Amino acid sequence: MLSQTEIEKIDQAAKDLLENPGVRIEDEEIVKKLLQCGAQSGPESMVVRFPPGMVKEYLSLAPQRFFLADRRGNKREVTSETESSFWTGAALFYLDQEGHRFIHQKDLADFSRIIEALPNVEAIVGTSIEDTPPMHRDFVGFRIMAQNTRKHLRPLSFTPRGGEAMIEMGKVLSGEKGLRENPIFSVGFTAHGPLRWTSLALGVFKATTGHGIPATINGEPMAGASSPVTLAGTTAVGTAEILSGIIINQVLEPGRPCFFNLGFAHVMDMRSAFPVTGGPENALLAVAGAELARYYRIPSASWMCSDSLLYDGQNALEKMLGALTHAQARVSVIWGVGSMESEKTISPVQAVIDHEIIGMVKKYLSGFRVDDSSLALEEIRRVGITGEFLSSDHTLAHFRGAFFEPKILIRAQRSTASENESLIRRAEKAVERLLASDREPLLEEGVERELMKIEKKYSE
Amino acid sequence: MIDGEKFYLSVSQGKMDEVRNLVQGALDAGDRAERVLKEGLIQAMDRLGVRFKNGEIYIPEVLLAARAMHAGMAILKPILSKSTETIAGKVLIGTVKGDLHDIGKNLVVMMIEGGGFDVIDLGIDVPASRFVEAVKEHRPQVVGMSALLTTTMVEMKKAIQALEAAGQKDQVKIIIGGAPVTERFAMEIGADGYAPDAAVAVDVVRSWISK
Ligand code: B12
Repeated sequence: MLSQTEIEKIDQAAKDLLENPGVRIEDEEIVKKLLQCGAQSGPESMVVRFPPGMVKEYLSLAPQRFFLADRRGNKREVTSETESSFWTGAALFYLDQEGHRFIHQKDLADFSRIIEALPNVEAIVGTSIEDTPPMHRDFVGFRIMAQNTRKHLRPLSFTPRGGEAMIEMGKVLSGEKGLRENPIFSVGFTAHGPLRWTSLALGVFKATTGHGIPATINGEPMAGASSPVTLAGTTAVGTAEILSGIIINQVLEPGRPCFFNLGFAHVMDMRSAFPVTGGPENALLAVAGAELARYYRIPSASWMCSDSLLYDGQNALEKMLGALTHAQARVSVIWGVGSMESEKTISPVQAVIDHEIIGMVKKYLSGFRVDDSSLALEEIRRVGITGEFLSSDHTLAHFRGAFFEPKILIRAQRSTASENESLIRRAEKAVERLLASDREPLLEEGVERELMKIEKKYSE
Repeated sequence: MIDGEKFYLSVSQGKMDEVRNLVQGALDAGDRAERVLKEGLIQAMDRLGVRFKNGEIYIPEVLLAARAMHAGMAILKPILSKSTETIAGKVLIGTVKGDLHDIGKNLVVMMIEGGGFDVIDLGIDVPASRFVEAVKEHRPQVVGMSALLTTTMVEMKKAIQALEAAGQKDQVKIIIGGAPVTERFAMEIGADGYAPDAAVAVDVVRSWISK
């Protein structure tokens, strides 16, 4: 999308911002470390300026390639070139057949079970859980997710202490190999734009440092509110925030795997002040983010979301635009399965629909093979003019897996299918089916007991 | 004589100097400050408010007008505060403890200011005790609280309880807002009102203060 010159221009603009005005770093210890590593103090207290030499030096420490693990034994390589991995999204509300409500522990458990059953979704992201004391929500949610899915876990962090609790739990979950070898979870935090890292964010980075745990470094500018209304300016501000976050993490832990995440960027609707997440501008920002990340050779991330308040047509069409554009740009990790209402709500029903969307997108992006066997000239000649291919051996040999097979999209004649059943209803039924099935325990007893012990310790 | 149309044009185009001249001109011609405020500045902002609600103009344009209006207000304020006449009213606002989100709160501040009210903005991460101190110090008619996180919503309740304990709750009306907040939650924690967005917030504040 962006030309090489444009990318270099944005990069230069971000680096200029890192030098002037610099970034506000609200943690004395980190400021001290940065100054020791070549940063300069700005005119105001806590404002740090990053000279180009330092930026270059510390960016080069961020790994170009690392792995994300899950508890099924999968290890997935991520680079700025690899195929996209789809994850769920953070939220505070839940929407299903029973209505819209705050997320409770049971909802998060149910949602995790649904995600466990959806092969196109590779990780689950933490949410708020209303029936839990506020300061414990991050690590209690982490335990609930671990009990209900073996996929990669991406808890939210609300406090540095929560970060410590999750590292203890993560060590238990990652088993003998340890977190560095088997990163079954990752963390992240967001800059408080414009150009500011809060003590909370920095506290979380510090609390989770030293174990090789991958961290998503988010610049989350909102065009027209916390960054210029022009997308170029928004991209420059976001890039400066992210680069400073990556440098901080490399100073704390040289070689810590980091995601360059500009793909959470929003634009503000200038009529309603609504933070737009499902518009074409979000796609532009996510794609620009992936291209910049590739320029820095660091994996990227984004959020495909919808501004719809329901699981409906708007939701599906906004998701399709997001999934297709982000994945085509090879964003490394795409959040948003089940997300809606400008990131505020998740729905298991929408997750099932998004799963279908991702299936189509993956199939489309896999393209098709062109070689002797797939060109099938021999076969075309053999069948001959006016022949048919349905009963040919070539078809028999190749048809399985050849075409996308929808799980909930309808492909039937009007009279044979339940023709009044919408996509929504079919997705709801799929959720009902998935939730009705038996729940095998996904944690060994000993591991579960350990997690509970840690949870208890940190809940006191 | 106050030419409402002229005020409207200058305010809506954000022409600060013109607005200042209009205000000064009206005062020089013998109009009372309170009348200049109501029939000049607030009348202009109200008309813009209607156009905003109709979707004819956008937020940045409302904010531009609000700035021009404040240029005029600056002339009126010293006169109003000396006389028995009052400016429209005072609103104290802040994002509660533990919460650093302020894009929405800032917009609410700007829009309420645009409504002709004085706003004291306590910023972000405001603990309950600070709300109490500030109410004692500034004597606002309305206190607004913002929270964007489910983990910080509880701080709103704490702040309301602290105001109550300090005997200040009955002195003010409390309005809350932010992503996780609902009308029902507002009632549960003893707030007087809720607004889903800045435009409604202005309406609610106005309905309280003009009573
Ligand atoms: C932008 C944003 C940020 C920015 C904030 C920048 C800033 N300067 O404020 C940044 C990136 C820094 C950020 C950080 C975080 N955020 Co945030 N953020 C958002 C986002 C996307 C939009 C909020 C926003 O600005 N909206 C635009 C404004 C105009 O709308 P608004 O705030 O809703 O305000 C309107 C109304 O609500 C109302 N209103 C607001 N306040 C008031 C007050 C009164 C008195 C009244 C009457 C009305 C009123 O009027 C406003 C104008 O119309 C929301 C998602 C969402 N859609 O809400 C997540 C969201 C709120 N954030 C979330 C989270 C988790 C976080 C972090 C913890 C993330 C992290 N771990 O890195 C940190 C928390 C930091 C902290 N302690 O506060 C979650 C909350 C989930 C939960 N558990 O509660 C959300 C829902 C996103 C998500 N799904 O994960 N965030």
